[in-house]
Amino acid sequence: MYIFITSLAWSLAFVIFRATDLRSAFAVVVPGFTALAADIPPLLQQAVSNTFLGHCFAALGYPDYGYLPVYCVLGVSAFVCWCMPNTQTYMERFDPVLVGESTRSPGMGSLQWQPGWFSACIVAVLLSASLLSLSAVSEFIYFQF
Amino acid sequence: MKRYLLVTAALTLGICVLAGLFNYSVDPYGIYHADSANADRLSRIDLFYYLRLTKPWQVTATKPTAVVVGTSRTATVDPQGPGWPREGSYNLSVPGMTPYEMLRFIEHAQANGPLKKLMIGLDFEAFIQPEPEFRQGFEEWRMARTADALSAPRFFWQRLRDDRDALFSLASVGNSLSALSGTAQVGRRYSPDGTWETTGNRFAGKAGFIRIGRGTVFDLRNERLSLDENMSILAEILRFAHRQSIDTRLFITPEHVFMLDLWWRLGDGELWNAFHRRVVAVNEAVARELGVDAFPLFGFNQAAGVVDEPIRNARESKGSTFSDGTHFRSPLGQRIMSSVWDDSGSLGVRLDADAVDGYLQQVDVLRQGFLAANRELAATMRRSISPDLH
Repeated sequence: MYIFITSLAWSLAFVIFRATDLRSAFAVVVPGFTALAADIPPLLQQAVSNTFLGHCFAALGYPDYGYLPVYCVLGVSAFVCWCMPNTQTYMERFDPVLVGESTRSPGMGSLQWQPGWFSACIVAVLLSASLLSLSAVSEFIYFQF
Repeated sequence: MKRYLLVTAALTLGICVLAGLFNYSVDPYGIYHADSANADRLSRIDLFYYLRLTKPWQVTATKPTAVVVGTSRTATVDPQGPGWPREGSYNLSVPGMTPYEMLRFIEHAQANGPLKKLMIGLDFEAFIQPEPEFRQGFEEWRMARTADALSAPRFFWQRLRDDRDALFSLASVGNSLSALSGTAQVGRRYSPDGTWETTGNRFAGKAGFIRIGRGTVFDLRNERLSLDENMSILAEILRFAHRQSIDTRLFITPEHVFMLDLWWRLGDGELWNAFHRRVVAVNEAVARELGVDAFPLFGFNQAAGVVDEPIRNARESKGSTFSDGTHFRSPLGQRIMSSVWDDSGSLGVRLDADAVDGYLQQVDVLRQGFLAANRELAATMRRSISPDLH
């Protein structure tokens, strides 16, 4: 419950922090509670469509996915954040920080990193994705004309 | 550990190279296999957002000698007018092209060509906005100013950067997947001659008029509007075309009189008239300066039955001249092309210092006539654009 409240407060604060004024902030926040079934705005749809996940959904035959790629990213991120080991736990076998034995994480052994073909493949895929994300064709954003 | 690092590095390199080969093979942006490009191939993804990347490289690959240049409104002008070469003509229009970008695109085409024929579409809305100088996606170093610049290190470096972005990026892999699967949402049809046209009716008819009226006219009401900066650039374009002996003709892109009326209601109707007078004046002043004849300049906003056509619902608008208030469909594009290059003036009016005021009066008569005949529709549409518009 605390996690949920903290996450919600952080999300709301983020909108207010980035908005130019309170009116604009509420224009974003209020529909989040009152218009859950609203269609995705065309500009946001365009932004989502041009992401890698957007293309994947389209390629899989779901061109009208709305917010689905966004929910997927949020779901995967939440799973990684709350259910997977953090960086210290992940690298625990190699003592990345000075911690006592008592703080070691039980039950995470199989998820901890060790050199091998499997981890090399995973790291290579993630590293490739990171490198390939460093560049992209600059897009013209359609506002007028 | 050393072996592990080597394996990881090799796998990473392999994945990146595979991604590059995949993107090169699929070529979603149509810049690597220009010789085999066709409309089906170019319309697999919506190139609209990437045209500032794709068109300069297509020009470098195909070296056209006759080009049409302008904003998206000029995109439906088929580069096959009277006296134009059957091969080697190209429509170099890109969405939202600023006058500065227009100058740079023309220079780039000349550096690759050289050009024999040039047709320039001028938009009122593009000329009244002094900023920005260029739009997102434009790269200065992608555009050669002279033929020598095509072999300059900076141009080569830009090519490498564009190759990196087009081949080695996750977004390009996504675009390639969409292109292969044929599932991308593409509301336009792109041709190898550089033209494109909207195919869907999502933003056509009344909805299109309202969208353009809001985005292109109403939203500019608080912006600084000035012709001075862009008229200087127009003079530079004309000087360049004269000095390079390019057979050049200009036209002012027509827009529906409903859109024109919005400018009058926002208090900028006189600016619309001033734009026409200034274009004529600059064209004639540059010609006098260089001791040559002014380039032929045409206006089409006096064409009755065209710019005052009925505004229909999206579903019934397929046969309309305009898909929205400013973008005209290819049949009018062809008529404009013919009218500009066969000297008959069958559709438009040749604008010079003597003719421009009479032309503007004809336009105003059409505007008043349309409003008198469509008072309720126009009022409803204005309210949809903004309750502040009366």
